[in-house]
Amino acid sequence: MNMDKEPLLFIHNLSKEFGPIKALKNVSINFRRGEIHIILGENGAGKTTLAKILAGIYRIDSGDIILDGRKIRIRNTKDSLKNGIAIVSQYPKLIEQLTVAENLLLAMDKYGYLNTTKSIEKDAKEIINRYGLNIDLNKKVYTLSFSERQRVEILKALLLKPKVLILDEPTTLLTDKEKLHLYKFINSLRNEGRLIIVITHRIDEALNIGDRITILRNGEVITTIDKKNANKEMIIHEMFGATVEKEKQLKLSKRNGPGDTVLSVVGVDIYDDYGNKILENITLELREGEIHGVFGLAGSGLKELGETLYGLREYSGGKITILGQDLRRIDRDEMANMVGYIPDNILKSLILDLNIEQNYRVKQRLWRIQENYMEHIINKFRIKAESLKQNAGTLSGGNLQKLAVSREIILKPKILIAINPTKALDHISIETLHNIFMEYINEGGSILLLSEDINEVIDISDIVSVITKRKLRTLERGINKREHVLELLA
Amino acid sequence: MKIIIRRRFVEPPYLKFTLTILAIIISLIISMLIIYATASIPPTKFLYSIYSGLIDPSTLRYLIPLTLSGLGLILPYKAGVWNIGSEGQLLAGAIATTYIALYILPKNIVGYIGIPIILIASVLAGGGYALIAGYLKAKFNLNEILSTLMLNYIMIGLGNYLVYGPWRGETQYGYPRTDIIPNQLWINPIQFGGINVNPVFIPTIIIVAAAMHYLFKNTRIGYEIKVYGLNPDAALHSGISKTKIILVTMFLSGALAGLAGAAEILSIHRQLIRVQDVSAGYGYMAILVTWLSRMDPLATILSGYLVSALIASGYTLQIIAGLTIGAVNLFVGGLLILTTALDFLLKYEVKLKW
Repeated sequence: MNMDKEPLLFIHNLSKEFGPIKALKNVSINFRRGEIHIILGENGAGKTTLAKILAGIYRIDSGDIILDGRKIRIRNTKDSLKNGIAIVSQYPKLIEQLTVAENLLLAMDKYGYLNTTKSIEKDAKEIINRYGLNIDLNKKVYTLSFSERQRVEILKALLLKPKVLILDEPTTLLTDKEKLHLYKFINSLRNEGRLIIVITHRIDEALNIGDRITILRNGEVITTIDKKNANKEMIIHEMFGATVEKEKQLKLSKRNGPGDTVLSVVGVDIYDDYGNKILENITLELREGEIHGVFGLAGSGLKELGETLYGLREYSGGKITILGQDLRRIDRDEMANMVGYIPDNILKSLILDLNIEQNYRVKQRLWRIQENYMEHIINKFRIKAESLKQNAGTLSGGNLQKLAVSREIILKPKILIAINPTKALDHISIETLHNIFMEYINEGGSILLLSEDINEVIDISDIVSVITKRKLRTLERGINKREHVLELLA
Repeated sequence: MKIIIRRRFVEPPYLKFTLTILAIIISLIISMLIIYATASIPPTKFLYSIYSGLIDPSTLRYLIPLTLSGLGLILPYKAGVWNIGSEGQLLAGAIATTYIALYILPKNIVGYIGIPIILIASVLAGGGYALIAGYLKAKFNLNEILSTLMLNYIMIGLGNYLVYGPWRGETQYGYPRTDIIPNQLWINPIQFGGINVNPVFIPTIIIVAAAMHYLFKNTRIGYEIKVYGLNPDAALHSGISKTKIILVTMFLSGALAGLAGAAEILSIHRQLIRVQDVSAGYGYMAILVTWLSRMDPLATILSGYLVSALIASGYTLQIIAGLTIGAVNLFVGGLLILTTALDFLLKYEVKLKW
């Protein structure tokens, strides 16, 4: 047993900055062989950044990574796999149109170039049987539920025979039953002498499965503790520090009840870029004064749904009605006046070569906007800029997103369609944006929130829909507990 | 030594102008060296012929078709729509001009009624011809580079069919030309400060350039064109209609090329001749004019003048040095490549660190 507890991975004085944001500040952690090591922290504490560094997705600015007593350099994902570090990311990144085996093959280059999936099937089946993973290798990915996809990701990682396995928020989308299965499985991996690093923000989970827990806050290591010395109260104190009270100011805002229907979709089929049907027979309703959150995984058709509703894509079947008008009868500038729209990518919304002022004027009804009004908006949305003449390209991601959102809602359109509006933002920017959304709702707006972030959907929506297996299902109004969402996903 | 390349966020003033001058000087030096090395023509002779082109009164003759078409190309190019069909659109204007002048208008019509009718027809013909490619792009996303290029050949074929066939003039001794248009419809140059100036098309160029300058500086549609060119997605999401931008820019672009076609017929040829000799590559040279001006309408007059001067100096080179027009094309080609290459410095800042 003692032999198992020797250090395997040691990170020393790791730092990482994203422009002005210090995501990690001199982080040092000692990971041991054969342990489940929890990295615990609230959103924006730097957990995922740390995981992505170890997986080779981000590069470190400074610091050392020592594996098995040897200093290693991780410059890309290949380096990290070569050193036996594999990651299972929070949201599975699989190719929908391929089978499980084909997806696995894509991840392994050691199987050579000419091989078919047969070469991989033997190894994959062995792992499936040993751990009871229950995966059908010949199924197409789009037919899989979320937990099946996650098991595919785990299988993909295990095929690489990693010494270190990182699981980033692995239970976000699992039901209680699936969670227990996962915990058992993680335990058996640990008992084989591997190092398992689990990234989570859930305290119960940390106490339940961890051997040791490292708490991160604002990019710094607060402490590393053994499970037997830990309790919930002390962990909460360490995790949030003095910031506990400011936590959920969102909940304070009072909402009006739902009003008239402003957007309705009845029995519509939606297509992807290649003309494949990506969503079938969609029915959806957005009422005045509410946030309708739609959760779906990356590639599930969220983006296509948003673009279709904004009139950017062809659709077939039923009918889409916006503010009483048939979508097919609405032309582009009319649409831009009636509906605010935040696309999945900020570069589809803003022009980085133009300055802030010019970016506002892109919208037709803002063509004659006064400069002092623009300044007022910038202050209100807390956009950090030196002047209106500053090129949009010089703003940080969070400020660009706020600029785009502000441009879309200052004219108070009845509807705002937002696709992943807070993706890639830090938690402070997310909070600011959510507050802006609430204010807009209280002024009579309505938001269709299409998001890959399940927490966001659950936290701020009045009514929740879930996209799974090419269908959209809406939960009963008021029922938006995570368990219900997950039931639909299963 | 380390080379540091950084994206510029603010473009320094006058950089565009400086880089253009730099491109002219470098390409001049390169062509002088190549001509000296291959044909032993001393650089002074080359420089003299360029100079003579710059002061040659006949330069204004090339300026009209080049600058009119070049101004037209600014509109689609700013929107990122690559119309290379000026050649065909110019011919559409020239053919329409001939048709109206010879077959529609009464023989005794007065000039100040007949000429405006002809000009309007040439504008509609050139613009309408460009709209074919524009419509195909807007509706079916058909690549406009290919469609406009192919439409050039269709118009060349049509024009030659007409002059060799049904429109061949009765007074032309069987040459492939139409009859001469009535002489009250000719637009003759007038003397102005000792040089011959076209009284209709030179003022038109100045007015069009000024109007386009205003369009891009102060109007919504000018801004929409620019925004669409910088980021079509963002334009689309802000309610700017792709169809409108493509159709408007293509129509105006073709219209100005069509007007250039009318100018060639009314002021120079006075009849439709073999159409290669009417368009004479002006439609392609106009691309260079537009590019050299970096799509600034007022600068297009200057770049149009420069390219016209180069064409004129090509004839001087033939006489004084026995070189063909290829020597000028060498310079023109070098200029185009250098202008494009130096654009890198507009977007990026390059620093050397020792």
